[in-house]
Amino acid sequence: MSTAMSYQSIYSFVSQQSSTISQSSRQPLLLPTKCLKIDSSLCYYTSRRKRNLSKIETISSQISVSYNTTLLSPSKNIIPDNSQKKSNEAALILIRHGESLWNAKNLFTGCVDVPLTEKGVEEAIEAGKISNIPIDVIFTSSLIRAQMTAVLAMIQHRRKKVPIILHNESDQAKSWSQVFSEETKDQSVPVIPAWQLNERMYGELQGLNKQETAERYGKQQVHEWRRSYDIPPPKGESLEMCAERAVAYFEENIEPKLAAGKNVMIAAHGNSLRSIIMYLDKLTCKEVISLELSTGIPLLYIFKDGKFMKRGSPVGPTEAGVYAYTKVRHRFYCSTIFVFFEFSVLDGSLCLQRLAQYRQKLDESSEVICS
Amino acid sequence: MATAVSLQAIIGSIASQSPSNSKASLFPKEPFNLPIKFRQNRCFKIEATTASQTPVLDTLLSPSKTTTTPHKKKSNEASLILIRHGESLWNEKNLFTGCVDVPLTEKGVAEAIQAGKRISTIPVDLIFTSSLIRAQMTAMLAMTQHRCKKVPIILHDESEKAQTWSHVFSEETRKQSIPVVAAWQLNERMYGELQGLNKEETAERYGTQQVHEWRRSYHIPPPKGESLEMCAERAVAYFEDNIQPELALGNNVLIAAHGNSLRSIIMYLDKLTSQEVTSLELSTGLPLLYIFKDRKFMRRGSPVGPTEAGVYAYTKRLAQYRQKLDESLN
Repeated sequence: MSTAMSYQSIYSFVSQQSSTISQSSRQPLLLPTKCLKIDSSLCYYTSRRKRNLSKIETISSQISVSYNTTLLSPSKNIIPDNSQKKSNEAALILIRHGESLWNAKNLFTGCVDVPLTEKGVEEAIEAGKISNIPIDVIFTSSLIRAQMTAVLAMIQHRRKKVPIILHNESDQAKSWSQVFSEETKDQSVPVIPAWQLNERMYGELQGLNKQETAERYGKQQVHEWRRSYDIPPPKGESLEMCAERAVAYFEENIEPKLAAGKNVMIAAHGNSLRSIIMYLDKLTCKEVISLELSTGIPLLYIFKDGKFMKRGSPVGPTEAGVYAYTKVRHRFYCSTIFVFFEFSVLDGSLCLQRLAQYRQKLDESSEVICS
Repeated sequence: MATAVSLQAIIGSIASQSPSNSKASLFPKEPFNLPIKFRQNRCFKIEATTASQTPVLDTLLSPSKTTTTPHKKKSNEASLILIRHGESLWNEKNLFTGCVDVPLTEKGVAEAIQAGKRISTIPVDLIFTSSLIRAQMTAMLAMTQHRCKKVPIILHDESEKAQTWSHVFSEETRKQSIPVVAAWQLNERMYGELQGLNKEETAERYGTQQVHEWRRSYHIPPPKGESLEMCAERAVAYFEDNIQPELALGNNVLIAAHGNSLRSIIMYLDKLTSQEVTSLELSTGLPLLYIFKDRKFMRRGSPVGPTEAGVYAYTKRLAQYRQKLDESLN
């Protein structure tokens, strides 16, 4: 595991293991090589709340979720005393939505609720290669491009569970969307929309194109807004403000689920996800500004013992090679900081075993489920 | 306009009477059942809808303008397109869905895109959907095919913050946008305690006879649910208060919604009886076109796809619109 940990300075990477990825998949962006210096004098992101994980509520391990116990067969695990306990680790998948209609027109979008293009739709379906990773709950923003991305990606999910968007906007909305069958509920994955996961609000830049903006405010100023950490555009949010509400939401609502062993997917936006990654990877303000997230490419983290371990991008179901995380040599391209390296991912840990077993079960049951 | 009228008559008679297109069964109007009068007694205390006095387009286009001046009519004719969303994940599993917010299947996605191709040359100024994602996705996916290349933008008014946060600051961008209004009143009929059950479970729990009654009657709601009548009441009220005024101003409207909410609206547009509406079946993914003119709704069937042969134009105005689109490509 130490090998993997030492590569924390690499922000995201895409497996290039197999060339059997479907035709429509994009090549990872190869931006010019930059050497990022980690300056310890820079501020590290500090959460407003104490990151004291022992205080996080954990759901009693006596509560069994039929999904987990059926699929994971804890009694078969290597760790001997696991037969009664729920899994003590969880998967976290982050997906940035694909191309929106304003991306295509090069307009600042922010919190304007603009939908996906055809290409964005394809990217979302392609992101469904997470189909081998278990998902128990989905969080999205309140914007349709993220919600569409989440549900389109789930179309590919092999467990065939149905995502259902929860409605809390009023008492009526809540009661009207109630499900009255236990069996159906078990086959559902709740989707929770939250404005706190929205894209950074761009204030008076929303709807403007780059030219208009440069004319109105001056190139220097615009560059500052886009590249700084704490300077907001007029009536908008700085990255810092965005990070504050996104990470607070994550800590209060998402992390407890992970701590309880639930596997979570978050479908959101460039800035809200960067903020969360900043928290997960303990990045500095400088580091997060340079962090670029590819669209439509899911990022996997494993949450275990209160820590987040980055696991890159899951390989799709048709790709050759050992299911991602066992002892193989991988060559990764870093899509942000373009460093080539080779390393071995060790497989001593339960989480890797668990995911491999999960996939095996899916393969075995595929004749039953996919009718 | 005489030419247009006679053209209308010809096209109208071809388009609206082919049952294979819309599958809307056009029963002869028999006198045994009078058309339902709406809004007589609104005994159901559903949250009051605020009838919007301001046409939605103005809100998006010029938020700073005051609305004291009367709105100028764009045209004395407007098109109204109705699209029922395609297959959802629970349709596929044969479960009663109602107001549970279940998304589309791959097939449903394809149906939405197909529908979009059929309406790609019919003008759309304003879109209304329900608050459920399967209808919203249908609208968004359909519009990816539209030749006007305008961008649908979903309006958010759930709170002050949501409103200010979604503000657009460029006049030019606003002009290239189509506001999308999400309204729970256009939701599918709420199925109460049947939501999430499959047909078998339901028959076991309640008895086949009873279930048949709920599904086929006009007045009888399932436990804790809505009858078709209740659904119709809130859907049509919404239509009259919010959508019809837009049409009256000449704005072309697209409604992406559900089987029962659309049936209710069609009942209003075509002045159907309750008997007629319970037998009305709407195809999924097949858009239905109406022309609103002189305060009347004229059904125009389902627009042919762009590759299908046959005369296209339903009215002179639509023909001109299409011509403009064709010219702008060259």
